Amino acid sequence: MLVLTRKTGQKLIINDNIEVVILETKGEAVKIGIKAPKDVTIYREEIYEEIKKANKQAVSNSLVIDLDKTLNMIDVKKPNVDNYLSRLNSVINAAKKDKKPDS
Amino acid sequence: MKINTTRFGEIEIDENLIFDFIDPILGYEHLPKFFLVDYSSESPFKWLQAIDDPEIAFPVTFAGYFGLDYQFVIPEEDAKRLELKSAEELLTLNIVSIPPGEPQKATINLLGPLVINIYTKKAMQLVLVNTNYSVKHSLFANNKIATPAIAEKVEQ
Repeated sequence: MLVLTRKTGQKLIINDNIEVVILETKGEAVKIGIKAPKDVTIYREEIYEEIKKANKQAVSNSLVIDLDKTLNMIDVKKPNVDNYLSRLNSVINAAKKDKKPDS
Repeated sequence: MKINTTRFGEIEIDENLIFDFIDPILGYEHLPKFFLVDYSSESPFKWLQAIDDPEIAFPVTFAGYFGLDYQFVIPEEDAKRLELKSAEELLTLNIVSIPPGEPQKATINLLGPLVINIYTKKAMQLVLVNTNYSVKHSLFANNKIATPAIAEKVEQ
């Protein structure tokens, strides 16, 4: 890990096309500005980690038996289910025939 | 094409329905290809099965099944990379987490939806910003409306 100290207003250039600037420091908080190409994704690390963790939990939790039980338990709005199921089926059928479904 | 899966055994899959995650499902960067398995056709829950790892499959569903008012914006650059030209090309799935033995505590990840272009088969897990959506929104706690976010429409 590269460790640097910057003062407010000072910048870092990464890879020639990413610019990081220290905008302001207030107590423990640091305000950072980042200029980067549109295809560079920038996340707060805790959000990224939260989603990653939720993904992993979904995989490790998943048992087919539980899902079927869940379906029997819940008061799912039937019309909504039918709508989405038929949309999904038409999507799948269209993909199989490799053509667009009728709108 | 046949693939092996832990949950469903060996299954026959239609190569037309293999989705290619150009940005990965977070934590699964080594698995870009997934197949949508319709294990119980009556059920609102489907599965995204990894092609290259029999053990990895995500239970997924549509937020709309559960009456959730769910909307978000797809950033322009992401829509471009997915080659999305209109809303009808878009399929949004959300990963569901069901604690073993406690299906009433099932939660849905509204913060990281899976967005898929059903024609190009390109997909990504979006990380939504500027929203109050939860990673663990309870599916069965009578809160039908997900906390509303800032005005959203799929970019046309």
